[in-house]
Amino acid sequence: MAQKSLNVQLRTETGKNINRRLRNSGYIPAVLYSHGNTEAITVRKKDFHSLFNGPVSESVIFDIKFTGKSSDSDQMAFVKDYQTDPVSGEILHIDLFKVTLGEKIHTKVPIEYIGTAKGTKVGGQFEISERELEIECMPKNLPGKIEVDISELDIGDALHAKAIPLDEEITLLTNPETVLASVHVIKTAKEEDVEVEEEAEVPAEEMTDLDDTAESEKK
Amino acid sequence: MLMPKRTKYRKQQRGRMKGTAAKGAAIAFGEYALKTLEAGKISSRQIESARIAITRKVRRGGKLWIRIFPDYPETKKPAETRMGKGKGNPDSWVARIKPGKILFEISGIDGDLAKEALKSASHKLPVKTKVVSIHS
Repeated sequence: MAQKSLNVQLRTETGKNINRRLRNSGYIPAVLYSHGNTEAITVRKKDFHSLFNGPVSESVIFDIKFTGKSSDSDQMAFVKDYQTDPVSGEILHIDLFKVTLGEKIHTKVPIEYIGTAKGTKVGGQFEISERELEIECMPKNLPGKIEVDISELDIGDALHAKAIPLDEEITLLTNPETVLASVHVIKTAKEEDVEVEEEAEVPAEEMTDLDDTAESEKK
Repeated sequence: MLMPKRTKYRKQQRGRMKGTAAKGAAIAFGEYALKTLEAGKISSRQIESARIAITRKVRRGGKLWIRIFPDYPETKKPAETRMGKGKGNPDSWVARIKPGKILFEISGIDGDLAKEALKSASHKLPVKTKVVSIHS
């Protein structure tokens, strides 16, 4: 299950200045918590990104190894939440949730759509509405991703959350009626261009409308 | 073009735009998106122009989301007018954006075409932008 591991260090100092300095030196401030028990830690940025193939996932459980502590203190955890910089997208802070082996966890798992929808071959367009499923399960049963075959989807068909085959040990928390993906008729760009040309004549009127409303408000 | 249906007041104070975008800074609907790296004002004409650039590039298929709305009235004094005598008349509608804001999102098309379409849209905008995706 948890083959990957992450080296962490305990963090005694808190506050924005300390954390800013940490980020500049290649570390990410983080917290490791469970039920009411929180520890402030730091994680090496490089090590953290090597845990995932691509974007950060909440469905990867990994070992936590405290540097400078005995192996007894090693635990397992997964990413519960993380904050990113809105401009650069860099990770600013991570929330790690401690895994207790006998306790169910509640997390989001990415959905991977496999195959080509039947409807797309006859002019339909495949559209994804949801890319993650919210589930509850024991840590040992947590899947890294959920694979869904979409080859049978025809035009007008929709794939609902309840239609996804899950193991018996996994409970679906997403609303079963939620549409995950659908195939519908394509709207061509030509139709839209005609609309645009029609709209292009309107602006002058819109500006006068704005002034008209202004005058009526004055009165 | 995009504009509010009705507003409570005709003119608004300019205020300041400091900091980064707190909301609308993550991809919410599509697969690829255009993110602004600067603060600025994007007019309804520029939004429409960028939208047309994307639809012309994509031609067929795909879905586009416009994540900004021009709800701020820009005023302008008439030409050859002396200064003073109050604030000018409403002239156009703009969206005020902060760095990090997602402007357009696109899905349902090939990644290279999506990036190309978003890049062509960026040429119509008065701010520096970058293309981001949910896969990175």
